[in-house]
Amino acid sequence: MSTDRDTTRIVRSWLRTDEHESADRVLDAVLDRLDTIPQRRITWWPARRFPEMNQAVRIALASAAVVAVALVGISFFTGQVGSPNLGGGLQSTPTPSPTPSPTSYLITNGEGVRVTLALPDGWVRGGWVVNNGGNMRTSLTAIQVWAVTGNSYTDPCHWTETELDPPLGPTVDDLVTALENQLTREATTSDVTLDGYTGKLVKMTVPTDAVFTDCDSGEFRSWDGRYHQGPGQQDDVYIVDVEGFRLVIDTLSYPGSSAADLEKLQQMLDTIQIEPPA
Amino acid sequence: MDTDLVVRAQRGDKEAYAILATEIADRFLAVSRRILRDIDLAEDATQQALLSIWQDLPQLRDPARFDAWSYRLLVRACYAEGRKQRRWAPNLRLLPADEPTAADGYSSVVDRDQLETGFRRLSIDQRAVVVMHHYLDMPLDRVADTLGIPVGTVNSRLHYAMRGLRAALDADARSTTQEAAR
Repeated sequence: MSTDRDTTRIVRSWLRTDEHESADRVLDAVLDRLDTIPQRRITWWPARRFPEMNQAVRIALASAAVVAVALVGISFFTGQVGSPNLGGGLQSTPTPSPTPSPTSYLITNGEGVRVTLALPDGWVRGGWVVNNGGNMRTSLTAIQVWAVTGNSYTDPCHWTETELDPPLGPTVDDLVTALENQLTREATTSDVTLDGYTGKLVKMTVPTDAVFTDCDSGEFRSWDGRYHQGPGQQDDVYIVDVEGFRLVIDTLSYPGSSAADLEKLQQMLDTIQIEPPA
Repeated sequence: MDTDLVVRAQRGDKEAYAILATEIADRFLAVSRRILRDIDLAEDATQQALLSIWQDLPQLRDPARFDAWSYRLLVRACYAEGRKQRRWAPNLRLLPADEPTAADGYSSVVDRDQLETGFRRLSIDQRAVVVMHHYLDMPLDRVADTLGIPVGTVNSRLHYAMRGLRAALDADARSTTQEAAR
């Protein structure tokens, strides 16, 4: 068994190998763009925060964080989906449809689990999230597909020092237990089946009195990468075992979400198609 | 860092910024590559950080704190790129092990493979602390200042990160021993 000192020496040696990186190419690209990128003028007060508009980007990135979800193709809701485009599918655009039939998304998580979702009329794809475009703190209704590969926390507000130790395991029950045990909020768990795959449904809510600005980095987190958008946000987290792979579908809403949007959310879940890794 | 350059760049002097960027770019790429373990992601993170520095420089209140401030932007960029990395993680190949450094008996290919695997299991938070402390030789209080987190958090992240890396090395040692015993 190695000692702490051995480990430190090995790590330091390893980090110091291959120090021949040249950033010339990056530098050229940056300097070429300076003329087109204005500086942000001094706005020391109030403290810089993400504007509301950027929340859409943030939520998209958040799902990308742990999810390892890649949007790989879009096709019409005809039962067929586009071929996976693992190399460059992130910027896929919908194929113009001759009829107003709803589109569907083929999403695959990094472990090869493929999920097909029907896109309701009027809903949008924001990165790796399908959502209603609602207000981030009052009416956002969305569905996200995750492969939770990072850690979780005992305290979703003070998460920097409450990472699980040992880290979150890979099973459905590992994640269920982690969410059930998180401080400051209630979670209720039930059995669930999603497109024939069994697992657990964890219903949980961000406390309405949560003050995000008091949380670490201003984020209230359920797991690594999943930070919530506002107090009162409700999450129905479907955690199913797809032939040994943990698939997480997080549907989120607010009390202010409309009945119509909640119905569309349910329709997506009802028609979801899950394929195990090939 | 030359604070005059920083001040000039804050005022929109592109030439001054170009000098600043040239001074830090290679180092930024080295740091981001070590955090992200992928040269393409590291280049993207470095580019994003350099652009963010240019954009936000006027908001830096104390030019003398340019180094810490700019590293913080780099780590943020690494977080963003790390998310992409996670999305693709199962498709990523392990980087080929570098040639061992002749003078360093610890740098075996096996250790490198194990470290690569163990390091990839760490969160970006933990990787950033490891790289800043063990690669950039920053004291822990400076790491905390740079990342804007308490020293206790830095200690905690470093502790768990090193424990994970040690476990990766020990796991390999155990498997080697077991194979030898067969």
